[in-house]
Amino acid sequence: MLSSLGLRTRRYANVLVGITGLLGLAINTCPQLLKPQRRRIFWLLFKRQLYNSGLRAASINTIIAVLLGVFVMSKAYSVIPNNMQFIDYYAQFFNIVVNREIGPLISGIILIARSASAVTAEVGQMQLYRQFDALSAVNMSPALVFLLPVFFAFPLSLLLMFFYFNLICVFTSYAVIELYHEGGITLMAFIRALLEQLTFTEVLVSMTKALVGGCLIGLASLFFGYNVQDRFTDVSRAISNSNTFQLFAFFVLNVGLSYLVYL
Amino acid sequence: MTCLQFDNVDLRFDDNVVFRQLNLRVNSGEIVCVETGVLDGGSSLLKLAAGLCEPDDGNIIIEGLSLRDMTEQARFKATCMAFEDGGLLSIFTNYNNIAFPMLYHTRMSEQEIADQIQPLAEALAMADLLALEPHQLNDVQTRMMNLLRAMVFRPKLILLDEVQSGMSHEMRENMLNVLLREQQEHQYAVVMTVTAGDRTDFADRVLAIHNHQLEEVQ
Repeated sequence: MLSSLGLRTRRYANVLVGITGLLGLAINTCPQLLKPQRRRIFWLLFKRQLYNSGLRAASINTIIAVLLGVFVMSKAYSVIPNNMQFIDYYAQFFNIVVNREIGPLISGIILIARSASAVTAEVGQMQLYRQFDALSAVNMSPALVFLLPVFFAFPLSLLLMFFYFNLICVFTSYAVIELYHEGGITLMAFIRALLEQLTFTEVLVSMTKALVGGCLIGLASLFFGYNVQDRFTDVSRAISNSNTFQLFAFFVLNVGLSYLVYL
Repeated sequence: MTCLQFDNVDLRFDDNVVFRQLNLRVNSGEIVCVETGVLDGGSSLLKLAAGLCEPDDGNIIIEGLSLRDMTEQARFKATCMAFEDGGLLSIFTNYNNIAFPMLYHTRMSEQEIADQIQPLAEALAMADLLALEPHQLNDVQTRMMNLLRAMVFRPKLILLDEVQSGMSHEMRENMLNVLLREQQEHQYAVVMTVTAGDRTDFADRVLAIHNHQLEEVQ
């Protein structure tokens, strides 16, 4: 059992070393973007990645945000006393539960399930069929073509998804009030109460979760995809290992940051 | 002027020796066909010249510059390989497989690139296939798309791996006519591997791989 634990720790350490290496490579490749030719090809691929990982996730993001917003805020509504301070408590609950924790976590899980798996499968298949040779044949840098678009698009996608998730939740939370509450609270009053609860630290922590988490998820996808060997089953194994690692790492990042800052 | 030069090149995969002390000189504007059999190193020869494979020993020089010292931009201008199979990235369309490297390496606008691709694609009867993806092509079309890409890039040296294989007579005649016309116009050197039944009469020289070396065919 101890040896299995040791092996697993070593495997995770190897993954972290690999991801750190990719991070270094990404930073090292960034100066290439100063060249106009490199920038225009990067821009095309970056837009494609952002569209696939960020914008195309909007529908599933909306459905989950609506369902979760209605469910969580209905629960909150049922336990918060209906008095003069109702709206403040309600906004505070929204801020602590949705804004601080559920928003980043659910957005991250959607990114892992939708886009990170796709990138791992894409890169894994390319590795399996030796398509990186084709890239070498036209002398294009894999770091610029695959690494940088993911490196920039994933954090930005997660930030957009997180913002979008919260926005939808704000409206569904207000819909819950409209449905049950008889105090005549306006949408503007609700938004004002939410903004009063929101601190600069919370915005900063949420942005850190999105940017660091997105970067980690993206680099892990590439790392596992690139490590595919000769067997077809290596691709499915890479996706499975990649998702497990990403979920674990993203959860640790979320809990760790919340624990450090809020507790 | 010498376009491609192999100096005492050794290549082996584990214990399997592919080339031993291989020497080759191809002049600018010259067309060389290399007759190959099964697993005798034809593709490896082209991959060495394209810089896709490192020799265990010896040196490979293109237009006076050692391949290993070239930047990726210099390599792009020097050589392009058309693969026997694959060679195209599955995440791009066939058109983007040709256009993206040009966007990456040159200052040409998207319109200029399109203007360069379209006439050649039409001449090779490949224009309708540009919008498709690589998995929608059969093996002959894949080889033709690789050839089209190499011809559009117009490097100093084009490396064609068994490009004639599987083609109908008309298709082969048309492809060779277009290739020879373009080669005359732009004066690039061509090294083409060929198998039994392929045409070699257009070549300046025909070589064969024998005993890990290249020999002239009479």
